Amino acid sequence: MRRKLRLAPYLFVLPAILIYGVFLLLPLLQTVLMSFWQWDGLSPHYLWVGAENYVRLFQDSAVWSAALNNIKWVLLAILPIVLGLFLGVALHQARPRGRNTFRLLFFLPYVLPTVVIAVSWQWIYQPSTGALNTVLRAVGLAGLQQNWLGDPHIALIALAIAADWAGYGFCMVLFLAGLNAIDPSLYDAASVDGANGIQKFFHVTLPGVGNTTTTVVLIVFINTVRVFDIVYVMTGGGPANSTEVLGTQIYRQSFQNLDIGYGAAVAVFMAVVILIFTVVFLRVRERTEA
Amino acid sequence: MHRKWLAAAAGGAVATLLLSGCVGSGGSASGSDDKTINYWGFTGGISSVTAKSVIQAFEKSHPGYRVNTVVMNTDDIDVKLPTALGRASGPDLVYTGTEPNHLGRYVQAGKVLSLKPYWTKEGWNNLSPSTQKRVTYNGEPYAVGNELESVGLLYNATLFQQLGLTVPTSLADLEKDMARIKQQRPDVTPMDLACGGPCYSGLHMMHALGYATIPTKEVLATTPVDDGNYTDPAWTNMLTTFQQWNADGYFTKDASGIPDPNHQASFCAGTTAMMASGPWEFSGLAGCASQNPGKFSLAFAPFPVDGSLPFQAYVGTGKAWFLSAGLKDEPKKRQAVMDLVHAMTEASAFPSWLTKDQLIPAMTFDPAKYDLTEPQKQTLQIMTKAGANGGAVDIGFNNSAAETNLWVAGLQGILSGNTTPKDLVAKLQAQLEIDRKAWKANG
Repeated sequence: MRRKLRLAPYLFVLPAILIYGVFLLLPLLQTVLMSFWQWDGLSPHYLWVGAENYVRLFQDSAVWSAALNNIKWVLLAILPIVLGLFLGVALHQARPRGRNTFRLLFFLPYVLPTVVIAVSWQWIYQPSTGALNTVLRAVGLAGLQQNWLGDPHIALIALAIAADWAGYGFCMVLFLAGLNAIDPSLYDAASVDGANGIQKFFHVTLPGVGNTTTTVVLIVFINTVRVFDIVYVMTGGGPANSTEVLGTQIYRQSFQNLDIGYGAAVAVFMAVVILIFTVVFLRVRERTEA
Repeated sequence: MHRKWLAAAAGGAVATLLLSGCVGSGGSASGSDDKTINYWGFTGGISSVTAKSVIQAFEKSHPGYRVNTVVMNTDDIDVKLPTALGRASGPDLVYTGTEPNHLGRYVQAGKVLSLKPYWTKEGWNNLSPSTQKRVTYNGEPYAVGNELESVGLLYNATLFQQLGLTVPTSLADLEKDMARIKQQRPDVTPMDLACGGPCYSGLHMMHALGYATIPTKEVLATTPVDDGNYTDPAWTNMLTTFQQWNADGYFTKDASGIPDPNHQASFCAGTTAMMASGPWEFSGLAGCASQNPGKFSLAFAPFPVDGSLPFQAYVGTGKAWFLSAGLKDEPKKRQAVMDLVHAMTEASAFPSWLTKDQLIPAMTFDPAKYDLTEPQKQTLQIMTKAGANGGAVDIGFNNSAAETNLWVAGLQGILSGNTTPKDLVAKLQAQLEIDRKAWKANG
């Protein structure tokens, strides 16, 4: 009877473990194994190449250029975090009328399918008939018109802005949850001590949402490094590979060039980068908080 | 008791693995059952007026058979076919490109049924010679070509008339026309180009310019099975012309940022004068004259060729039907699929292909028997005129996906001032050498 009781918890989690194992761990393991083989996806023959795919990866300028674009994108992803925090604080503290409506409006882009967002922004950025250049012309700022998705120097920024627009609402909702958890008496105490709004923000609000910030930064970082869909739909990695990221590289190598083993190696590389950053970031945060 | 629980858990895990399809390849060699024909492909072979009515008639004449159609674009099909061909959920019949990068790679992998034993019996030996050549790999036919294509100059005849322009017959004339359009009508773009996204319009322009400036045999030599080189100066010169036309403002402004799917819109509206493309545009542009009266009328002409060359043009079949090799062991179903392809290519379907879908059948036919539009007549004339100087386009789209990506990125780079023709040619040559090695290793 006692044994039965001990097994019961395992049985409860068994379905979850099975689903997790079959749909996540198994494919992950398969990807790692595949990265040591050469396979075209068509032939029944696999060729063992050992670490050759990884050696190639470290010598492949296209992968490094894509990784660099991911880094640039990560830096640009600070924008929705800051904006999310700002809006969260504004809605939390100012408590305007229709606060829930604002919250809904700001969160709305996040629930839109990425393809819809990508196609909409593609139209906004269209150089001759797009809304952005049309508005710039209409307000007498024709000189600021750009070939937003066609100029290799600005296409990545244009993409990141579209993605940021979709993501800031999510950051805001997480920050609002964090802000609600701050004890109001801390603000009262700060007021008694004579702190002004800015001082309260830096000494009460920011430390108060520390854990939320960690979560937001990690989620945004992971989503940014594995970004694929918005790039694929809006530019396909162009113009002239200027918006190529690791996600599109994996897709290109695995499914377009049918170099499955190499694509798997790039995917493993991306997963390792995410893992290292996550571990280092969490450790640093733990030490800072300690 | 502990053992029992472990056994149950292991059993559950194995069952889940089996259900998820993670163990082995499973399933029959092709098709979901004996009488369901899984048919995947580009829109023209599935959702065009003719294809739809042929499929309907086939289902009536073959009781019990059902055609399960899945329309896909180029990117989708090339991503999904490699893993789906020969599997239970995969296609029995496919309608896709005929080039080394499409049909060729599936043939190399042994996933396509050789049609040699059925070729004459089914009447496919009446396909145009260039089509038969196009679908033949290792000496055997593997696919049945549908329409015959050519790249030429689509132009707005109304605009040409208004500006007093004549249809260019040499490359120099074309450049003069573009310069005059730019000068007389600054609101009109001389040549349509859209190179954002897949950049098909840029690739068509490159094909047209390729045949306009490089001898056919050199164009066709840059394939995995031949020994031509992109480092031949003719390629750099062609790309330099492309670069110059962009610098001169002849192409659509900011073409590197304009999505390809909408590139015909300005041509249709009468704000772009010309477009390098082919008969596959005819049906889409058919309504433009009535939508924009007094501004647009469609005309098609040979894309002019450099004075030092005889007339030449791309002539070939772009898309074709092929059968999954899995049908080899399913004679009844194989025959049913053959019947379907036969129905698509038999003479009774020609009037519909020609008039409703505006496509020119790849099977030899007598044009005098059909009511062809002027652009269609012009297409046939281009094909006849090109004769032995015509050839398939084994460049750009087709040697490998990696090469196509290089072309797209390179053309975008040239248009945005980020790449030089020399850089692009060097990259293309390096890729061609990789493709040749792979082709030899697989062959």
